[in-house]
Amino acid sequence: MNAAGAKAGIAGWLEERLGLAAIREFASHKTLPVHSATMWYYFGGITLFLFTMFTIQVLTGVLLLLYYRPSPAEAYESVQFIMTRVEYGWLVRSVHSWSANLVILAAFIHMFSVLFLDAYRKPRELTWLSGIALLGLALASGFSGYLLPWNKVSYFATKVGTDMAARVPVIGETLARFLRGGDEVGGATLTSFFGFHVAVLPGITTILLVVHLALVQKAGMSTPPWLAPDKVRSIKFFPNFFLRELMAWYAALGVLGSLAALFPYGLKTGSA
Amino acid sequence: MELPGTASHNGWFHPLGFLKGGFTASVASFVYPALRFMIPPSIPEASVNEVRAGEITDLKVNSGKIVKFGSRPALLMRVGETEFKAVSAVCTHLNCTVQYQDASHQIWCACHKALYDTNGKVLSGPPPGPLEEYTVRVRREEVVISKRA
Ligand code: FES
Repeated sequence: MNAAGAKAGIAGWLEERLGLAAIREFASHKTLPVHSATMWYYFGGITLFLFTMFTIQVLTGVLLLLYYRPSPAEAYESVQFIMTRVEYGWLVRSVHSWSANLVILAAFIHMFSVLFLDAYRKPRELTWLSGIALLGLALASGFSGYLLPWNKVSYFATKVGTDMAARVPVIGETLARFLRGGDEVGGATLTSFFGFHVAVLPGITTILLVVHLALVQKAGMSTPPWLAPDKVRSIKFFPNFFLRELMAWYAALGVLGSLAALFPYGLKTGSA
Repeated sequence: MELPGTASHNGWFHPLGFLKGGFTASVASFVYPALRFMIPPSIPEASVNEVRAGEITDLKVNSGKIVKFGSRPALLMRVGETEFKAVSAVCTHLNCTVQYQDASHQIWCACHKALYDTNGKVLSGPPPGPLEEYTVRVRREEVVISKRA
């Protein structure tokens, strides 16, 4: 069989089982309005990318898990081990930290663009709320991840953070105790933060991300209310917007890689 | 002569070929470090130079116990009221874990009946060399084992 025939054969085989034509058909109807503020749509995608960078977080996180040990006696040493002994360990950890920061940055840009383009209004309130929840999850991941190297900075940052939680009216004390896994920041805190960071938060994030994207899909792209709907041109989502978006993703990936390689995260101060 | 823009469409210098090449190279640059990362470094553990081995009172006179020294076991012995000794507990023959014998005041490897003295020197049996000796210090009530420089 020649190459073209083989390709057609495989395509046919998959088609029979997956019904890709229906998906392609669906995708071909998805459109995107084009207007002066179109560029802001890309940041939604970049947040998605950064949350696909969520995928990057998962991948680099899994890599770090190969060597990281979540106990007060070993955490700092194991991170040091990753940084100094494991090949490209500094890079993997650096990518993980940088993309964690960039996720938050892109999420805020995305949030403000949605806010200023009035895209959060009816019928997209749930999309907005699920987005806010995702932002909260991203922040919680950052907060819990910051403790894991178990150095002095992260120890005291967690102390301050949980002290702040303790100031919440009525439930503050309980909340702080829950966060710390006890009365003080200690080994129990490290273990519970670790659990949240690698299992609970990513799990909830995954589910919510699917919900968020489904809601976006359901409502379609929003057009700013001050633009007359009949004046707005639109382009096909696939492949026109998608390919452009892909370029934006790739540029972001390049930025991330460069930042991680040129300004790697160090590991400051001794073990807590 | 070919006009610009009509050059062969499958060469490296064609813009699309260039893009594909660049894309492949960039993907490789992401995957390669990840693959290298997954191979555990040959130094299997962060090496440890000192461990705290508990309180003096944990150990009776003329007895020994196995303590964790980094990734490997060490044998801590209390040979007198205030005298402690420690050696690597990994038999130099075939890596069995050795133990202290209070009756003979010696170190015993049960795997192939080797005997060492409390300094780790081989007295009998197959081991090719002595057990590594560690320094033991007592800080307040706590016993600290460390590698010799
Ligand atoms: S392993 Fe100890 S004597 Fe053989």
